[in-house]
Amino acid sequence: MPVEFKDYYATLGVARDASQEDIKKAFRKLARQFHPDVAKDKRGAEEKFKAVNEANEVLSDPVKRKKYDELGANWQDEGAFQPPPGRRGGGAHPGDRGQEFHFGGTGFSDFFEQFFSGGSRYGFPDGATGFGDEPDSGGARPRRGGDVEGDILVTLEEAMRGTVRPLSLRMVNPQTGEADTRSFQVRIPPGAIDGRRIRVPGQGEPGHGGAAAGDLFLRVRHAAHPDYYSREADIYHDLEVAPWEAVLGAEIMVPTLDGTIKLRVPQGTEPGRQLRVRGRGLPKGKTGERGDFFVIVEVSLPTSLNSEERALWEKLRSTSEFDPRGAPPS
Amino acid sequence: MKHRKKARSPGPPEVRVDVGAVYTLDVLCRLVGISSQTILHYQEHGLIGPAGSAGPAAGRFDDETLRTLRRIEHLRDHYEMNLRSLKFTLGLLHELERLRDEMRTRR
Repeated sequence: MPVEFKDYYATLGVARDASQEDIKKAFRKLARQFHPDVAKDKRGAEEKFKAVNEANEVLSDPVKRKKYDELGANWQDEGAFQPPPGRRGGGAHPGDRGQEFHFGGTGFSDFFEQFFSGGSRYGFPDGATGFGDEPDSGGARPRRGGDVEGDILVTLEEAMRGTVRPLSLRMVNPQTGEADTRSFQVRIPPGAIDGRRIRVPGQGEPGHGGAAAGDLFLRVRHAAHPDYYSREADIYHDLEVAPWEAVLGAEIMVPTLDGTIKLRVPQGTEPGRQLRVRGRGLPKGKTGERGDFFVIVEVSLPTSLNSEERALWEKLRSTSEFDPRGAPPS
Repeated sequence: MKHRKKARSPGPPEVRVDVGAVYTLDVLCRLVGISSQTILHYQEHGLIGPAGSAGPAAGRFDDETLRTLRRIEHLRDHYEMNLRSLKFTLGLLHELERLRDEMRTRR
């Protein structure tokens, strides 16, 4: 199946030799710009947000990035991209592989699905699905269809509120070359935590000899968010505060995934300190229990001062007894 | 209620799924197609983890366990693996997944 080659470097607007740090920065900037919650043009933004996330998914991972760079070197500029032989979909040794699976609607492009994720039987690596000895031609013994696994990209908002996702699964039998595409919608309830597996009953490989179909196991992958990141059901947010807010304490309005909260920063809060807001993270499941929301305090320093501010800092310098390096040895 | 909803949204069928689903041993046996003795045998040898211990998951098994059991049956069917090679293979696969996850969260 020819797929369109994706230029992930162009998507993020970075050079091919960009450092990991450059990629991270470019991603954060674009994710903030196109995040569906923030952008004005919602529909266009959502597509861009997904594309940016996908590019980040590949380029921020050194292993995937290397693989991507190798693919790019083999790319002929003809619009459609033919995978090099020996790769999934190349069809060089059809006898070596079992079924091929291609997903649609998982939040990733066909290109990504083919090279960086894709479906696989029981989640085993390429080519490990058997020795071409699948007894599927008129097999007398009824045999349950295999389970198919794949990743699904879920935003934190979707994990919070639940979502309905249209999915398609294309299966190619390499022995016969027959392709079969199945489309369905999956209603995912709130609580899709990163790494969690969701079983979609009966949407795997068809069974043989009248036996039941296998299941589809979707592994949840959280799309990176410009303001938050997740760990299990907990949500983390970096909060920049002014030096006096950290020293004197403050009440700060902090946006969470479901509304703004008033956070009390205690006096004498050191940078890096985690403040926990209980029960404002992601739902854990049907119980209604939720993870926590962690605010990580970072202290921002003013970089330009007017004369009055300068005078106040200077006064603080001459008055303060604070010595961050301790008393010098006498 | 369900029908009305279906009529209103034509197109691909909707599948309702569960996150954090749990199953009793009986249901698990049926879903995998093996006996409870076999499951307990796997459990004794550490191929699958114990059932949940608290709350609604107490004494029940999750989708992760179901997936592992399906993989075990696949490995037995297709590669004629015995208990020792199963243990070894699952250990490797588990480690591989753990390392990939770790690399992912480092970013």
